[in-house]
Amino acid sequence: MMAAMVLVGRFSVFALYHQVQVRDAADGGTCPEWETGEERVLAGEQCIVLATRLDLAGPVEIEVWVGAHPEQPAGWLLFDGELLTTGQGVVVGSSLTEELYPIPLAIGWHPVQIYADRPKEPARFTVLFDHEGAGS
Amino acid sequence: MDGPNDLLASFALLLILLAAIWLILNRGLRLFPGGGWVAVPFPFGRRLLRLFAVLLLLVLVGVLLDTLTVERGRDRERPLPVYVVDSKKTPEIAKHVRAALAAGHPRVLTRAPRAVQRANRRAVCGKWRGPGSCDEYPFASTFEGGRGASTAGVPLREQLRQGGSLLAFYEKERVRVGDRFLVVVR
Repeated sequence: MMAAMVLVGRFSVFALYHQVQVRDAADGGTCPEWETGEERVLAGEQCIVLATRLDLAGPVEIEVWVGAHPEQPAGWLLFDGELLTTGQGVVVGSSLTEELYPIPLAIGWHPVQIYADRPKEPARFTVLFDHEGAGS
Repeated sequence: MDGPNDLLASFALLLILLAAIWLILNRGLRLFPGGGWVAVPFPFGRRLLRLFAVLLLLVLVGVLLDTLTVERGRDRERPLPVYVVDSKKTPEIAKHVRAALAAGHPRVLTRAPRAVQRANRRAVCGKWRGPGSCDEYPFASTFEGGRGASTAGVPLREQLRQGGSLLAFYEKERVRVGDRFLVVVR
């Protein structure tokens, strides 16, 4: 049976250098670095980096859901993949400013989908964890 | 490795502490009946005793300050980590940082907490109207940033790369809030 979808949090983040992270909360997982600076998303095993609108344009909103969702969220699908958590769940926010919000998730690989309100310089992200069911 | 001044200071500290211990034991023994026979007579009077007490107090205050300050407590344990602004990856930012350093902005920066970073960014680039994205040196993420920082318009893609490399540097070198690091342009 699929778990119901739960809104875990909605966070407003100051995205210094126009980027935010969704990453394994445990120390040790490094984030991938921008190759060209034109990418919208960077994905590593334990860290996903998202390009945002200009930091001076205002904060970025990140909404996090866990569980199977009945319908596709509005917006542009930026990322569809998996994220590895190694013990303390994940954090979302800005690693540069250390404004990070914890999301409890079990150890293992978790399916992740990330939607943005617009394809370039988004101001709002919706992050779905375990939308296909429980994490492995 | 400690320099000659540090060795001299350590030796002086040791002497003062030994003298203090001797004084305390000496006076302590006199509190017990018959203890005065064991204790060595103190020939110099109360003035020297007070001098030792003041010295001891100064040493203790010094040790306390030494432990509490970043300068000796943390930085001395390792050389300053070096953040390299790569002129191939971020040519415009490198040009800006080089010019800012030449103009006298500091090369050694100190990572600041979130509230300072946000305030710095808004204070320096809040009214930026272009062209390009507002770059600042010293970085907004440091205590040295903020009002008075140098600004330049740079391509947005360079700022994304700069942010990524700065984060990687902070994490790899474990640069926490209050930690200092050196900036060089390559």
